This record gives sequence, structure tokens and C-alpha cells, in this order.
Amino acid sequence: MDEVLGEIGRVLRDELGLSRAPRPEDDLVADLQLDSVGLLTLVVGLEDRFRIALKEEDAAAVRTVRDLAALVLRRREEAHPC
Amino acid sequence: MLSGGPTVPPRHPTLQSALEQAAQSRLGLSFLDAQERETELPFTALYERARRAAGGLRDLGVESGDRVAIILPTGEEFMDAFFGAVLAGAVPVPLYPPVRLGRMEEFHRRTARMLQTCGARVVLSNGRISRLLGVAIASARPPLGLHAVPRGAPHEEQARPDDVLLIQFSSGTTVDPKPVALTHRNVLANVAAIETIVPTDDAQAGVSWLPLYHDMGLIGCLLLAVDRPGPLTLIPPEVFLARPGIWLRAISRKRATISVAPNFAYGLCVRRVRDADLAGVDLSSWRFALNGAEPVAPAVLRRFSERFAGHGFDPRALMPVYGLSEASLAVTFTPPGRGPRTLASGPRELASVGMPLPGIEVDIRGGRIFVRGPSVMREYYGNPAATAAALSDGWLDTGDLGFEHEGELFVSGRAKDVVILRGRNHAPQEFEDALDGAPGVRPGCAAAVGLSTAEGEELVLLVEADGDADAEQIRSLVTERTGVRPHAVHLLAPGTLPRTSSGKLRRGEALRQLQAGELRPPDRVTLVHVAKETARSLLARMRG
Repeated sequence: MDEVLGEIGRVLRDELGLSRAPRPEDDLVADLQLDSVGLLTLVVGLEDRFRIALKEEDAAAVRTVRDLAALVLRRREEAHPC
Repeated sequence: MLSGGPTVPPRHPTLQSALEQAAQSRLGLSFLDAQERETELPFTALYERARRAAGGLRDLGVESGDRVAIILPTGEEFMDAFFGAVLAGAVPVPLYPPVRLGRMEEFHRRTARMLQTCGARVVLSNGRISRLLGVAIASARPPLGLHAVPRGAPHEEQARPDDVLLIQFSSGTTVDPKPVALTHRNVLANVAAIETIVPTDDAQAGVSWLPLYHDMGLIGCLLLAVDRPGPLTLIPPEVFLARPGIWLRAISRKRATISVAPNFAYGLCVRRVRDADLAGVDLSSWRFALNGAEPVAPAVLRRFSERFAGHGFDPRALMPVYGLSEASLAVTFTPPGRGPRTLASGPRELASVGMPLPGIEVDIRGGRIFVRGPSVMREYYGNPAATAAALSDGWLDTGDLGFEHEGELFVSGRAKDVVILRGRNHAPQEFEDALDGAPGVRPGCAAAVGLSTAEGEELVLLVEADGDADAEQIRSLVTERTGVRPHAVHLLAPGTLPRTSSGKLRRGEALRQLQAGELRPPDRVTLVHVAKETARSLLARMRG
């Protein structure tokens, strides 16, 4: 989990210019103010780093940084089961 | 009046015949993914696949003139669906696919509305996206339903030049989507006019990350490549947005001469592309760096030129252009090889968008830009009232404001209520409706306007509110509901926004007042005030 949270923090800082470290309970839109391009940048960054594919319908389950990290972990287990 | 001189005849009577010709060449498309892996699709294969898709569509019951909605990402399936529909004699209508992690409610509503407006007979998508289309399909009920691109025996219907070739939306919103119907002749005339500026020998490679549901990507890149024919590399828009460096690397690797993008893309490259992304990148082949679909910010062009000069980018390649979906695509082009020309207009610096293309005339009437020529649309599909408002005697009222200076067109503003962000047109209601339920905000008491800044156009919300309203909360709400983050939210005292006598918001005037620092609450209406006004009008009547 920490590895994924770290990567989310890295994309937000390096690619999207967020000045503070995100907290797991931060809402991606309400707290971090990500717009559609910001969300996409985050998704593509995580997909590349963890070699997974997030799906369009995953959006429904993701509100916070923690939700997103949990989703990435789940997809990674499906993609690379050992 | 500005005139581009005599019309050049289209190179092909119909897209069918352009595609047949292209299939004789050894050229084609290539698709890049996020890992920059390449998939080739030669025009020969594209044509054969499209013929089979056309057969499949006829088997499904698609008939000539039927609208075929296409909701697919940039890739081979999109080509099968689009050219398959054309060869089936049907009318393709490309629509936006959903965005990952994007907000689905807005996608459902927008898609349903667009399917209804164009009267789609069938919707083509893939398995992944289809799972998200249930709501829109249930509400729009296309008679032949939702399908993957079908395959059948090769088939090809002949078309006439004045048949409708495709429908594209002028602004992709739930509020007032306007389907622009373009004939083969409209589109191929525009492509032929562009080809008088952009050379057509097959050494001229193109690269595009633009969405294919928008005129600039579809007509200006894809159909131009088929018509010439010329090699074209396509990058999915979401890949570019997340990794802008991929665009510049593709131009370098392909030794591309032509690539077009809206203003924001040039700014995004300056902000987000790092030196590490540019190892070995050489942009010296890029001779036509077209810039259109949203207002051009000269400061962004200068920063782009400075940033990439060390990688061989020639500032004279920058070509601000002007066009709109109602005119197929292109209206004016900056002369190639010259670079941008700018002019101070009050506190703002405007870039010339150049001169009309051959066959196109531009007239300024009362500050408004009117356009006439063979690529102007025939109608808004199924909307005679909107058509009559936009077209008269072959002249298209663009709703844009501008002026002529030394034979070139400058676009200075907009009379129509549209906010253009990242090359996409939005109706202001899209953002105003997103305020529904925000504390302290009454319905109908907010105006969304596009403010031009040094970076380009930005969304600003002018909201009449009471003490309960919170600007940050409103910003989050709009971001959440529309996927667009407002640049600023101004809270105003009730009654501040200018309105017509019938109470309708005057957004253009509100924007003007904002820029001039004149947005102020109304004078308090007192009994004395009312008495004075009454006396004045009585006096006026007596004199009359």
C-alpha cells in the first residue's frame, strides 16, 4: 500500500505540481482539485508504473487517495498474481 | 471583405473515391500507445476492413442515410466503424468516449442527448465502453441497438457529392448540442483548400493526438491524410494529455512536417515536458505547427518557441489558424513559413489568424465574423430554427467577433455564449447547471464565461450569492460535476449580473464588465429613484 501511495504522491507532485503531500483520506476532486486531465495523468502514471489497466467503470468506486491505492493493488494482483 | 480567391475543386467527388485511391498507395496510418509501441494500418487494409464492416452494417439493417453513432477510442476499431459506415452509405456520428476515473453522470446525460439529437439508428462501440452505455442507450433507444463493429461480406454503396458524409457536434454538451451536417463536397472542398497550403507529396508525414470526434482531428488530420494520401501517426488524446512528450517525440521520430493542436497543448508542453523526455528529439522537420480551435495566446507561442528552439523548433513554423465546425473546419490560415503576427488591442495582444483559404470569403458585419464558401455546412441536422439563425444567403454567422487589419483576420471575442477550453466548446449552462444545490446560490443567478488570460481561455464563474456561499466549495462542485476546474469563482451581490429587459443573462456583457472592472452591485432602488424615473418617462412621452 505504501508503495502505491508513494507513487500517487510522486505523480501529484512531479507531474501535477501539488505542493503538499496527499493524505490517504483526501478526496481526489474536492481536496486535491483534480480536473479531468489531472485524473487522467494520475491514472496513466499508475498504469505505467504498476503495469495494470484501470477501467472506465472503476470511477464509481474511487473518491479518495486511499480508494485509488486500493484499486491499484487489486488490479495488480489480478494482472500479476504472484 | 477578405477573399481567398477562386475555389479549388475537390480532388475526389466523394470520400469513397478518395479511400479507393488511397488504398492503391503504400501509405497508411500508424497508432502509438502509451508505451510508444506502434501498430500499422495501411490504407489498403483499412479499405478492405471498412468494406467488410459496411457489409456487416447492412446485414444489421443499416440503410443509406442512417446515422451511425460511434463511441470508440482512437484505434483500428474506430477506423472500421467510421469508414465502414461511410461505405455502407450511412452517416457516421463520432461521439466522445468516457474518460477513466471521469464522472459518469455527465457522460450518460451528454451521450443520451447527442444520440437523440442526431437520431442515431445504431451505436457502435467496444466491449469495454459498452458496459458504460446502458443508461444512455436506455434513454435514447436507437432502433438497431448497441453493437461491436460488425463484419460481413465486402460491400460498398456509391455516394453522391451532395449526400451527407458525416455529422459533427459544434459543442458537445447536454444543454444545446448542435449537430452539424456536412456533405462529401463540403468536407472535400475544405480538405482541398488546406492542401493548397500544406503540400501533398507523400514525404509529408503528419502526427496527431487530437480526438477523432472533433473536426480538427477528424477532418484536418485523418480525412486530409486519406485525401492526399499521406502517412499519419495517431496518438490517443488521453495519452498525450498524460504524457505530452510523446507528441514531440513522435514528430521527431517520424520526421513529421505537419501537426496541429489547440493553444493549450503548446502551453502544456512548456509546463510538463522535461529535458529527460526530449533526449535526441529533433523538431526541425516540423514546418506546419498549426494552432487552432481555441483563442491563440501569443505569450504561449513565444514560450513554446524558446523552450524548444534548442531541439530545432523553428518559430516561423507556428501558424495560428481560425475555423469552426459549421464551416467543416478551416476558414483562415497564417501564411506558411512566416510565423505569428501580433497586434496590441487595448491591454490584450492578439495573434493574426491569417487569410481565408481559397474559395472562402470572410466579411465583418458590425464586428461579427461572417463566412461563405463551399465548405460551409448545409444545416444543423433536424434543427431548422438554429439553421435559419446561423445561415442566410450562404453566409454563416460565426458568432465570433473580429476585425481585419492589413488583409488579415484577427479574432477578438465572441458574441455567442460559448466557453472554449482545451479546444473544446462548452455551453455556459453546462457549468451554471452544475451549481444546482450549492448553498447560497439561487438557480439562474450565475454566469459562466471564458476569460482570456496570458495562458489562453479560462473558465470564470460569476455567481450571485448570499452569505452562505463559499467560492472554494463552488469550485470543487463544478470540478466534480463537469471535470473542468474553474480558474476563478467571483461571488457577487444579487442583481449585479447584467440582464436583458426580459431577465435573461447577458453573459458577453458580464464578461466585458469583469474585464473592465465594472461589475458592481446595482444602485439601491429607492422610492425617490422610482419617482424620478417615472417623471422622466412621463416627460419623454409628453414631448413625443
